[in-house]
Amino acid sequence: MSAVMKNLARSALAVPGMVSVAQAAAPAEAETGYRFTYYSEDDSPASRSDGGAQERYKIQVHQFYLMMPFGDHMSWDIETSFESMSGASPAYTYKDDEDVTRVYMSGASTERRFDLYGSGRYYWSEAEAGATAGFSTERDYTAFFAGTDGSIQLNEQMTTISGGLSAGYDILNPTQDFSGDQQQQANTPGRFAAKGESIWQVSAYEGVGQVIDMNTVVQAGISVTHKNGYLSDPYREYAGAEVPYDIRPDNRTLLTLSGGARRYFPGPDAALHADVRFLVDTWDIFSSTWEVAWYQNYAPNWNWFVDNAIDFQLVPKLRYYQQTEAYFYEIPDHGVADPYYTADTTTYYSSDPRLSKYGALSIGLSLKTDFRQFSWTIGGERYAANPAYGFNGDEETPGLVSFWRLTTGLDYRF
Amino acid sequence: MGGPCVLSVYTDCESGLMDRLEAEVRRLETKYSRFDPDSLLSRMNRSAGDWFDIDPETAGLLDFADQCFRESEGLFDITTGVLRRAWDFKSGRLPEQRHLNAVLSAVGWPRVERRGSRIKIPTGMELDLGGLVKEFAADRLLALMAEADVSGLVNLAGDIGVTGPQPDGTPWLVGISHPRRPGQAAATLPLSSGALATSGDYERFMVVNGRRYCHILHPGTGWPVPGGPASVTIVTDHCLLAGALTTMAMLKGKEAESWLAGLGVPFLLFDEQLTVSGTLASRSPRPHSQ
Repeated sequence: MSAVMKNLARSALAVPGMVSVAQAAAPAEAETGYRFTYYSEDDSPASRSDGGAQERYKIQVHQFYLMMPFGDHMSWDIETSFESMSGASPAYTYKDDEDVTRVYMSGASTERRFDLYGSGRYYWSEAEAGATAGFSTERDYTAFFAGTDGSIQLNEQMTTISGGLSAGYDILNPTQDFSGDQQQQANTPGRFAAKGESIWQVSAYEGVGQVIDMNTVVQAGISVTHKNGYLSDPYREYAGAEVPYDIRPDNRTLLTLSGGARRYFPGPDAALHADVRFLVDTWDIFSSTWEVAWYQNYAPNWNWFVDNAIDFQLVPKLRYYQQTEAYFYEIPDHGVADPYYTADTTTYYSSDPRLSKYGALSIGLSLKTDFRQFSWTIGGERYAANPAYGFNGDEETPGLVSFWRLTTGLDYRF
Repeated sequence: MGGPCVLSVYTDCESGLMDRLEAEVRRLETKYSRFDPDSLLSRMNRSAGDWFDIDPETAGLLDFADQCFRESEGLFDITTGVLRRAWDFKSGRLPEQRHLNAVLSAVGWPRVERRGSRIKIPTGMELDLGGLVKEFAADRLLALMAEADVSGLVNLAGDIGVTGPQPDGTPWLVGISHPRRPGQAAATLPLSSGALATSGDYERFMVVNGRRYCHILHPGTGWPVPGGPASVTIVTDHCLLAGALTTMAMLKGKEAESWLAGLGVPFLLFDEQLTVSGTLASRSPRPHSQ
């Protein structure tokens, strides 16, 4: 189909009432896909590492999904992924005798994770509802998840109200190599404390989307999540300390507000997506995420391309993130006797860099190529986190991560 | 709707569907009639010079008209209805160029202002949705039939669409009017899905000094495009799109065939000499070249 025809068809379909709403809502064809992601964190800077492994996580992810219509008003889908990861992660951060901030990396480990999700959706003429359930398992962690969501279109399909509820239950079983409890507590106190612990969480969201005109859609949303359980990181520990090196409150409530706009520009056949998200939680973290993406379509008007329904979509993306630090974030000074790391588990402390005041920049570029019923996607992303990006010029956080992520995938509709 | 309307629907007569379909056609006719002074279109045109609030359906149709204007490089223009003031096809007399020039000053879609759900038509100008509403009505009927899960065919004065094949799986057979033999089919096309629309120089026209002048007028000159097709039939997913494309093709003149081929859309074209071309010509069981 030529670009002219695509533009005209898109415009015709945007006229309210043009197509049966029941037809439009339910997926007309099945879809399956495979996606491979390679994620590679930058090595930990040797100048700031306190021994241990330098090479951080490398993760390979294989994802599959299958979505099938079921009758005229239903669809179901299953998604599964398999991850293999290896590398070291920051175990703790501290200031040494010379007040240099250093990070101690845990020993490199190899892990595997498998997850499986299934969901079903029902479509009414101007509404739809779905339910999802799934689990994720790895050697030291098992998670269960269930959720339901729905949406309804009002105002001649110009307004969409959506909402959802979800719940999760995680079981921690950090592995350790020591046989006796006393040994475990002495050598891996973080893991020992987390042994058999669990986390449950519930989440609710509400969103609204409004079509402004044929080329413009705006949306806003609010979500609340409450977590309860063992929220400390069992792998953050200091051998010989005899107490976990990371003790966090056992509950956390997060409130998220989001807004976004999509504006299609018929001239260049492209769309601008702009999104912003604010998060505030009971750990005193306030974060904001700002993202812009440009979706540039290109459909060559040459016979072979038209006959094979070949078109391209190039998406450059830029994201900025910043957050404040949790109220219990602390980089301990090993040069002085530290009052925090005691057996008193009601005193919260953590040197996890993800709880520090920092910012992050991410740039990405992806290309989607449609060929008949196939879509092939390839993309790359560069992410870098830094205290300075979050307007924190006071302290170093060498454990923050920078990574490359490469993704490619193939989808097939039938 | 300006011509005979036929609905062929496989449904239970007691379902009330036929009443709903008729009501939908009447709703759109009442809303967009240029003959009814109380129609939304008439009120909108009377408000020329001021901002006028429009509903989402009207906004959607105007957005589509805007897209057609841009994709046709200005050929598809819903402000050309005022050219009727200069052209009287029943009179058999061509308009005076002076009169035409005066009317042409009220043509020009880009001069119509839009701000979200409001529109401002410049004083002296008016909109004519005649080239869109009948086609949109056909699509609405097809959507309502699909929602009711029935099989059927809609024919609103030549704008034809089907919900799918007939219940026994066979396609609907649609006759294409011969551009020079009224009431006679020039071809029969099987239609299992989508819609079909035809525009031709035979719908409203006059012959002056042996030359045919049809009602599809160029927004820049105010005259029919010389060398244009005798008729164009296009098959696509929706009547609204098919109808707009046939109008654009008629206004492309001699370039109509190459333009349609470039779009990659199935079409059947009779040129001035009634030579048949287009991707549908070879698929038609009974094409006639004259």
